[in-house]
Amino acid sequence: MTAATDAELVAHCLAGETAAFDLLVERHRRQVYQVCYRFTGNHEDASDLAQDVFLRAYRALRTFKGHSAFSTWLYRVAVNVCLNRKAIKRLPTEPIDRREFTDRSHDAADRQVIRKESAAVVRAAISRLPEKQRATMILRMYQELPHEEIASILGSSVGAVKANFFHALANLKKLLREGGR
Amino acid sequence: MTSRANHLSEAELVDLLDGTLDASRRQHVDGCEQCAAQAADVVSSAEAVNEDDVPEPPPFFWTQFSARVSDAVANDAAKPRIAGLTWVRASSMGAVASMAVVILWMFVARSPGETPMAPASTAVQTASVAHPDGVAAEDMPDLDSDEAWALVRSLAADLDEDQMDAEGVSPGAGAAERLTQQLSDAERVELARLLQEQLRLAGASESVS
Repeated sequence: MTAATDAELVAHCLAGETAAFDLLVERHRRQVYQVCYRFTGNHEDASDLAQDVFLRAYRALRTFKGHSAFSTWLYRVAVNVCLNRKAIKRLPTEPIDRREFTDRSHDAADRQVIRKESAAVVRAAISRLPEKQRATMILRMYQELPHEEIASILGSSVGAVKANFFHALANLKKLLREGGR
Repeated sequence: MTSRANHLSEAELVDLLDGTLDASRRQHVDGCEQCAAQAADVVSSAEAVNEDDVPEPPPFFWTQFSARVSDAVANDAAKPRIAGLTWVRASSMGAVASMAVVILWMFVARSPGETPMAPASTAVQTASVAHPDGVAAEDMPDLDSDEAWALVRSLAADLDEDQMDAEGVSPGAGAAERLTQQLSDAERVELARLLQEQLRLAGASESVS
């Protein structure tokens, strides 16, 4: 069964072979976890949400018709689960003094710290983007999906995805100027 | 001087970032301060995002994760279905979403040849029995382009399943879609009309779009 395509594994699942779903989980768990991590910013919530994504996917498996790749369909479930969790809509953010990012580039350890802090500021800024822009940003920049697949995941046109992405980048720049607050 | 009509659109600025913009349009950026500034902004934002990696979880995490999912799926499969519709959401969107599900079930319950419309909980039970999982795939209408189903799906996405589970309401895998597949075209149109009416009543139509 390990050589089966995703669509074949879905068919096996629907025929009652739950082991086929275990294989689907194994194939896609990393990408689902990464998307969830991008929305939550921490391992614990990402892990819980990723589990929820697979449970919901299992429940809705019969609705997968094979019109798109299983991974695309699963991304759609993941984005919906993440966006519907209002409690984690925004990452906990603390005001970050921009001065921390200056005059500390003396050695590799400092550079590493600065890089981590910069990443935290960017994550906080992304969490403040409107939902569709945030989802588009995550799928494009982090998951490196083509615009066409993002359009399929979000139920939008390619043009709308590109426009969302542009506005996400523009808004991100503004938020970063404000220091991620 | 460059005319406004020649400036890069938002989509073209994204294409420029992706490296897929036509050469002729790339030339425009070289001679246009406004587009060059916008392009620089887009590139700098993208570079800031690119610096961030997801930390790799510990190696044993994936094995534990798969086991947790497997257990959750097994527990879910063992759950009794539709213990009763005692749950009511306080928020207007939640109420509309739950209304969508109830209306959907009622629709199925009064399909030709079925019993007349019954109270919600009875209707759910009837629908559940009348339409088992074994519907042949070739008999199922394609719902991907169906407006009524798109609306149901959009509303259902707002449901909080944790709260539903806590209240003992668990429709099961793909139940709403299977039920929708039992409706005729005319019934789905009517379903959409009822749902839109509920949306208007809740004043929530903007939130769904």
